[in-house]
Amino acid sequence: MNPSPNSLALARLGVWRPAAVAAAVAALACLPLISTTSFAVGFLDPAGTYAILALGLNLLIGGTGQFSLGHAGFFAIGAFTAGILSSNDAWPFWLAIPAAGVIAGLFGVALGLPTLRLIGPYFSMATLGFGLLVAEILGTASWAGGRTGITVNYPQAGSYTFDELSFFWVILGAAIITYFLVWNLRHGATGRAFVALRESDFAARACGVHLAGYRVLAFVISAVLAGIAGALFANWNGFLDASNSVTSSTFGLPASVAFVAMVVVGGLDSTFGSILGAVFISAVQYWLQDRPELAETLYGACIVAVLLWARGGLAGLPALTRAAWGNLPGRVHAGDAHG
Amino acid sequence: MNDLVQVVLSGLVTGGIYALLAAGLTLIFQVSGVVNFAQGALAAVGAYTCWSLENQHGVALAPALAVTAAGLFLLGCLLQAVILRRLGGDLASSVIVTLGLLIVLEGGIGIVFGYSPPTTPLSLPLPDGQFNLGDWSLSLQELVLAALPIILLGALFLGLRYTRVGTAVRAVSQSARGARLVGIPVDRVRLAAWGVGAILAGAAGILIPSASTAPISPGMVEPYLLSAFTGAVLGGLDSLPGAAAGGWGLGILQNLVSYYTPTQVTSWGVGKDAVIFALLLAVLMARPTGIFGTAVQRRV
Repeated sequence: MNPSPNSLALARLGVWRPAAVAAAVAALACLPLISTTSFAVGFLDPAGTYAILALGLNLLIGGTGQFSLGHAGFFAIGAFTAGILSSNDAWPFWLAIPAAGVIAGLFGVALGLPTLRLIGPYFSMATLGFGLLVAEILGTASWAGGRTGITVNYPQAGSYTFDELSFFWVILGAAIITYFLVWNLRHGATGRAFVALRESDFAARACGVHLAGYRVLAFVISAVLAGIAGALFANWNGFLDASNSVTSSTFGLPASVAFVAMVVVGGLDSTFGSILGAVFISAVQYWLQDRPELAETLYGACIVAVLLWARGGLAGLPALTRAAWGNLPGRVHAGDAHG
Repeated sequence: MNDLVQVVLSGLVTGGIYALLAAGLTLIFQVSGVVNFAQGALAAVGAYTCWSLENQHGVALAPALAVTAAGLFLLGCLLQAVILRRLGGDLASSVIVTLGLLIVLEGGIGIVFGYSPPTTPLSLPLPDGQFNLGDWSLSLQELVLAALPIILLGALFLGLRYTRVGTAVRAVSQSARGARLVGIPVDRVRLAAWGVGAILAGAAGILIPSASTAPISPGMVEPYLLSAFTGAVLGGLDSLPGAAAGGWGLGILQNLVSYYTPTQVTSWGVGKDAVIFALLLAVLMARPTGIFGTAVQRRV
């Protein structure tokens, strides 16, 4: 995201930037104190959860330039792993959530290796098939609750039991850690290797970038983060059911499309943009929760509009606006990757 | 033996729907280079249009089908002319844009008709009863449902083979630049291919309720998508007969698999879809150009 001239000036002062970040985090942490339960379940928790998933997907799309239509599958795997572990086997949530990430990551390896060589629409088709298959299996299998679904207990830490409001702090913490992890990956040697691969895998290989390794790495990290997001979802939503057509918007193809929409609408080249995208799509889904068809149409239209007119997405809007005003020549780089 | 023949016949019914969807995908990809992930939504739009004309406006079936086909043709043309043409053949963008269109169309259906499936079914006047041939006794309804896609796709193949438009379509799919050089209006051929592709999707959408007895809903095509894409991939995305044969083959394979799968395995949720997905991965990995397709060269 391009800093506005104002915040740029502040950033030059050095101390202000960490202070601003700390203030923003503190403000976010206060949200559960002033929010209602329905607002937390409808907006705060989903926005934080999906931000984690979108950050991982951003790494994959930024890393390989390929669009996965199967991340609802990893999300569902994470959700059901955490749900089954904490309900049937009474694992504490802080163990069940990383375990869900590990399981989703293993599936990521299993799918990432065979799809390594696939480009463009072929990759999308293979991942689409994966997502549909996972939804189908989890929707019918008896061990996953079959047609009745499974109930997940409220997460507990010691004697304290989280509710939908206080669990937002867990989500927020996980999202912040994820953001710094992904930001570092994208801005370090790994990120440069990803960009090189996306722009020209041929040239990248000539420079000694290990194509297979980095592609699988990006895929597996995104799968792990989707699994963790799914596990968080299981904890605050409290109920998992992949069989119902209404919940196909949680685990099915519409969910995978919504995840891609978060990354695309947020801005393909911006790490922070993916958070913006996740918040934006969650907000649309919350404000239009009684009219899901309007919400779908709206963010579908946003995808098309971003692709046609505003490639930088939400994160590129400041630059786009300034370009339109034309008062700041030479500072128009919509694809700038500054978180 | 009769059981087996009946299983194969039921496979041809679902396979026909896969074949129609796969052929539409292939036709559009051949001519415009876009994998249309919105194909399933177009099918749902067709089903809803036909249902609405029949049940809400009291139109007879034949004119309702004609109006639906015309509407879908226009919709397909519109998508190509207004949106996809502007992307200029960028593969990654076309994936996302057709995805966006998928949910715009599904959401649009929801806005107009609501998300919950309508109570009156979309029914075709299909014959009841059994058809007896020697020792075999087959459902007459399934015979008709299996025959309809064969007739439709047969007409499409003949049209592509023997008409001027069909020749132009084949020329553009071989080389858009070459076609332009010999004076073929490439943009208009692309419009026509999108229109016809949308009609093929709509035909699948109209057949699905009769083939599955499920009510129509915006996401009604989702269970068919995996096999439709796998069928298209078996045809290498550039061979119409290959895609159609792939679709029919998958339908039969699926039915045979679920016929012979023990119920314990089914209760684990691992059934026909897992087989299809394994096949899709295997074909994509081993022969990205499909079994019937021609080899393509990739630019680096």
